[in-house]
Amino acid sequence: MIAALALVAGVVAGVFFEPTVPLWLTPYLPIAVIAALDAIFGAVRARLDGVFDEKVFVISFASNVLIAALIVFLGDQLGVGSQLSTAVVVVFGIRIFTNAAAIRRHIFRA
Amino acid sequence: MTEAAGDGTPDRPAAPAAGSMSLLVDLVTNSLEPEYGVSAARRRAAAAGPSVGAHDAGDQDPGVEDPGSQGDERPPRASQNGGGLSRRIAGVAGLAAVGLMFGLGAWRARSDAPVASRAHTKLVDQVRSLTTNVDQLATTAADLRAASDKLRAEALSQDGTGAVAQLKAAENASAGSPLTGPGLHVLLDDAPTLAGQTADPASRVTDRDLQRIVNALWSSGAEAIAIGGVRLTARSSIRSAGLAILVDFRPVALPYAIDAIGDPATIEKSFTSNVAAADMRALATTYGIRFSVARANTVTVPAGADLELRLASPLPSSSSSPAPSTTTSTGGTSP
Repeated sequence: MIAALALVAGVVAGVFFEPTVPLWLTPYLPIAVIAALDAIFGAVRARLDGVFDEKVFVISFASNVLIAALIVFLGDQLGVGSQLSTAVVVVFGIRIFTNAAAIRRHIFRA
Repeated sequence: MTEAAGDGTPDRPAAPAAGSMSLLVDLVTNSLEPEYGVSAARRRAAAAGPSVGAHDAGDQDPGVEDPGSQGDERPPRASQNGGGLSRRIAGVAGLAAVGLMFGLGAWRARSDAPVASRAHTKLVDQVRSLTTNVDQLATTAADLRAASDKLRAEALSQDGTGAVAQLKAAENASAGSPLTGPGLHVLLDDAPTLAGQTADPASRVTDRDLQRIVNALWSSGAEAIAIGGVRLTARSSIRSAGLAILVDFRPVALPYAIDAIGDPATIEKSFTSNVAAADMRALATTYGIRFSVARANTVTVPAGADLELRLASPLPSSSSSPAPSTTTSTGGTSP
């Protein structure tokens, strides 16, 4: 309950306070959002599996965002920016789908 | 529910796929962070530890798993329910960070569109103000030209060699001065469209239509032509940019009014029998393009905009020596 409230509070803060994202950070935002989505789905699945752990959640979320941003940065510097971003999106996309399927199996038993 | 969390990856396939697929298989089977399973196993071990070790220690009650007596380092039930305050805060902070990420992403996606349209509005404003600027400068240039014409006419009239009349004829031919006289009025307009419907491209007046009409008017004996108030000179262009038609790089608005000066009867007779006019009439009946030709007793066309000297250069001011100016002035005015 508190977790859901924290999530909503974060969204509200992000949308309504319109914090100024530094220009050099904006290329990493989409990838960071996907990493965050992956962390959320992983956390929900772990919760349903009964193995949820806050420490693992926070650390995996932070490290995933950082590594995703690092890969995008590296791709930009090497001149293959979009391709490396695609790799990140593919990996996170597969994980999100698999975790969503596990959550669905938990909830609907199907 | 804790039983289901045997190894954190309950749906591991029995037989691994081909070696080339191992990366994808690994991605799917380990889609949950393996650390979740590891930490859960550690907690189970910690939960099992005191209950087993209770017999070794002897002084501890086996009922240590009761949340009320948290004597051990990490009681499993309490941890599962977020017992550790710092863990709970960390989880809430992490979720808030995730939410912030989503919010930022949504805000960025929403704020990107207004930025694009703002830039567009700014460009439109810029174009409008610059067009006004050009109009003002053109008016100033026309005034100055009229003043200089007057001065020149005064100066040349004392000459008495018919230079004024010669100059006048040359100016008329080169669209150097505004003209008024009887002529023909041609009106062209796109086919009317119903409200909310996009116009059929074939029902629009194109730059080619205007070019053909103008050429037909010239060949019919028109002495001066203006489209939408823009005088055509020998070097004028009629072309389209997007949906707009530019005459001499100036946009002209619908409906396209073409004013031609000349003997109305002759021009009309010749023009209406021209193939271009016939084609326009066919377009009018087929696509609904509006096309009308009317005689007019007084037609006024302005001076051409880009009457500029290409070879002649202005005389140096009287303070400098007149010697070098003779060659340029003769070269410029020889025709």
